[in-house]
Amino acid sequence: MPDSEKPDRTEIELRRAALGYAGKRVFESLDLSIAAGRLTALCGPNGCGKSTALRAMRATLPAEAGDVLLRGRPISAFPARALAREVAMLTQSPSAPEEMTVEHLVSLGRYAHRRGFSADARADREAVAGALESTNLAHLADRAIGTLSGGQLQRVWIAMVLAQAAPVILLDEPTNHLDIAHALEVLSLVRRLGTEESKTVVVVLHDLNLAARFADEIIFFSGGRVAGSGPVDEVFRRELIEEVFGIECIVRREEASGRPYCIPLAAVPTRRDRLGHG
Amino acid sequence: MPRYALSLGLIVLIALLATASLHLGIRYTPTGEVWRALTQGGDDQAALIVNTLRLPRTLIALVVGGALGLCGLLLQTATRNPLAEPGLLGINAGAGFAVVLLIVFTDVYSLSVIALVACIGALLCAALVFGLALSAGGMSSPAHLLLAGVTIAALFASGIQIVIVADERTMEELLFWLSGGFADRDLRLLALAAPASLVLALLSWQFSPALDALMTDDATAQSLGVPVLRTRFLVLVLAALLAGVSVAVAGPVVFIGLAAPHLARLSGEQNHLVLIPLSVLTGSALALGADIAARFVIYPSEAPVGVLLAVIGVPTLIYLLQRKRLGVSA
Amino acid sequence: MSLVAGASRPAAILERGGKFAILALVLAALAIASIGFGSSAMSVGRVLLAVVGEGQRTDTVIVWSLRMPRMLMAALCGAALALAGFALQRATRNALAAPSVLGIVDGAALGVMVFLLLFSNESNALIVSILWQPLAAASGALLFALTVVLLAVRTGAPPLRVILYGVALGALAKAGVTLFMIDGPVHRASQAAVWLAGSVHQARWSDLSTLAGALALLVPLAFLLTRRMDQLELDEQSAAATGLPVRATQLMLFALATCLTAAAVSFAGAIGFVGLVAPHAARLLVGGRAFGQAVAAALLGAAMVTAADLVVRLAFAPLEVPAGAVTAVIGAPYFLFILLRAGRVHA
Repeated sequence: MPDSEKPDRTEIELRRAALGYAGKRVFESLDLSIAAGRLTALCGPNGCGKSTALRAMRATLPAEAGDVLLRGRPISAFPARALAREVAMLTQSPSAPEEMTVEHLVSLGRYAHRRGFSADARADREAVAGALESTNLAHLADRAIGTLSGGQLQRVWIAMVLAQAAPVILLDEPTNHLDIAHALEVLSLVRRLGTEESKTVVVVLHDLNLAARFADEIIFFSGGRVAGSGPVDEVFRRELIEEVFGIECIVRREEASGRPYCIPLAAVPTRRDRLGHG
Repeated sequence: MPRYALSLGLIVLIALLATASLHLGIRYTPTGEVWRALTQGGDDQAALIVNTLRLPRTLIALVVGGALGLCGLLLQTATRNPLAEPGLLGINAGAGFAVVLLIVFTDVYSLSVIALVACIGALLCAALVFGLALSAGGMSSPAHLLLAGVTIAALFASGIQIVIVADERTMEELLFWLSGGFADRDLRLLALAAPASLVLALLSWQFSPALDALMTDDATAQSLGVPVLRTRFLVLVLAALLAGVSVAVAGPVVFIGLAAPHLARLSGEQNHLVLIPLSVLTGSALALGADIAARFVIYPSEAPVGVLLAVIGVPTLIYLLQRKRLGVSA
Repeated sequence: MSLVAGASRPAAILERGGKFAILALVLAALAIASIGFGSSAMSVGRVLLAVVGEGQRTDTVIVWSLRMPRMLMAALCGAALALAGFALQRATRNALAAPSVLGIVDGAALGVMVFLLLFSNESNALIVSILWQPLAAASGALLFALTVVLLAVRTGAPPLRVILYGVALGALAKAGVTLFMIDGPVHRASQAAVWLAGSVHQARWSDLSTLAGALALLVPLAFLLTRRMDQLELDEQSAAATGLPVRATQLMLFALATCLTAAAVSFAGAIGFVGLVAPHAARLLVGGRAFGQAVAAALLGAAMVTAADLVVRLAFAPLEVPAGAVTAVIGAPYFLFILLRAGRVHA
């Protein structure tokens, strides 16, 4: 279903971007583009820079060199609130006081849309209610977030991101710490955003099979570069996965959905391990 | 052997500082007169100054500095918390409060009772602080321990303020004692404190191997054969007693307990068999140095020694805070 | 929104309004009591008559020249310290932050000591206007606050450790203050000792008008920033992702808190723990929305210092126990209580 439709518009583009943290470069020169209206999964082994790339797309990590473009405009040219209206992001382990109510937390997503003291304008209230509705949380609106289960809490955070009403949504490991049922629930919700509200969604995912099951496109990172990117069917190949993760595996196709999946077999010792530096 | 050279160097340094402490003051006393005063006594001014003012404060600085240095080391190792210190943890303030209560509300002026009450106050206060920190964030959360301590210290300080204002009779005397320092203290208290500190130090030394093992995590120490809880409890009791003894003599003195063990560790030594004497010696040297400097920074007036110690202690504290990891699980 | 728990909404609004009304009433009662009690006690009726200028001449004089300024000074300083603590707690996202904990109060005290020392002549008289004193307090406070911020930013310290930097620098400032007190003019030193412990018993109308002027500028600013404070309830990354300039906001809040603290400290001295307790209690009372919490915190802070001053006068008169000692005795256990139950939820 996702493949060959109209030629994709590019939503976000990184050109020769150098990214890293104080004293430690993660990417020397990163090139990638995110197609508009698609669900793109970022995958790769630990420490390959998935989250770094994601943070660069939201400009919470400025590029040390090169360009990060949002619809062709340098992302650094957007004022903070204007950018927040374009790109929303859920960080990896967000936090808030445990006595805060669900509704209050979700309403914080409206920050970039508010002006002065106009307390809870209509559009804001509707956006918050809509976000609670589509994450199936309306009945929990007055609960303190400290009393929620892990899956519910994650839905609240996603609701906050939805309330931000940005066309682009970035999610950093939204299924972290969730059991498989909650993970599926969250990803179905994310999938629905893509199809029903035609949002551009970029999601960092640890689980390859979840990525193959829900994403339109996958970008594989490995050793500070893009090892492969494109529609799931094109990049979800045995050779690429084996190279990126340093494993042996089998890739099969699930018949009902036509989606590929991967069965890992064994870890292949990397050259460094073999030399005894591990 | 460098470790003996280091100890020897420290001892020489302390001897030099002690000698200087006997010579220096508002007026310089020449060596000949100091020697004569020490060996023959006498009633002239120089002899009186040396024997009744400078000799007591020198001895007190030596003993109290050493006790506080050791107290800091014990606290830091037992709690695995590099920020532990009797002043910052409020233990000194607790001892001080206990003594103030005793003096204001009873007529007891016996020195041994005062010392005893100071020790009880220190023990109770240590129990309070560690209890609070334990239930707040675990013993190994340096920040929680320190915050609990600082707050308890503020609490006792206000308590002291209220009690003292309410009883003007003892106010001046107590205020002086509470300012913490080595000058003009009762030498008879030292006769009590010096042997007590020595016994406590020897007892602590007995714990050296256990303290070494405690530098790992609890589970490892346990598997090494150290009865972790009992050892920690006993060591903390020793530390609180050391703090109580030094408060009884010199009032609450801060930052020596923090700085001395860290300076001692700069030698690279990790073995408590060596660290304990090194911390004692460093504490004595710091106390002597600060006491001498206090006579000159606002000459001819004398500064409280706490001010000088803060100038050494605060940078130490900030340096420790800047390190990426505080202890095992910061 | 009616979809979302609509039924409970009007009731909730009423409940919150009621809480604010009760707070205001408590403050008013304390204010009347504060004016009524003293070396000669007055009934509520006499107090009210004197306040509007209809009472006996002696009552009116006592109330207007002695007790009113003292009460107002206590209330305004309490409110300022409470708002300062509130801003700091939001900026550091830590319920343990407060001006006295972050070394700002000690910095302000040091600023005032240096000022007194530099601008006194031989006979201990000030050679410049006393009106400059708040500025000196503000400079001292700013200097120490800035150092704490720089240390924290340079090392990227987590909130809890920022507070420890404050504790450390506060100790340094305290040492400086002690040194100046001993070395300074004797008369000034004894005056400074009373002032340092935090007391409002020497309030004058001229001081009061200066303080009120400063607060008229700072308080609206605090309320303008409440929406940003709400965003800071999130972790920093999430807050930035919703469009908040996090660092700039934190700096603004720090500066605001510093100025509020300096204003209060330069007149009433180091009244501790108000900035810690009032915002936290306000949160328990009216919830975490910044605007409501700020109003409640200011009311609570004012009530707290007024009450402390009242206690000092009733329980210890004629001794001059500083009000700061009373707020500390209440505040320190409260601080430990917060320390015990500080907790945040991570997804």
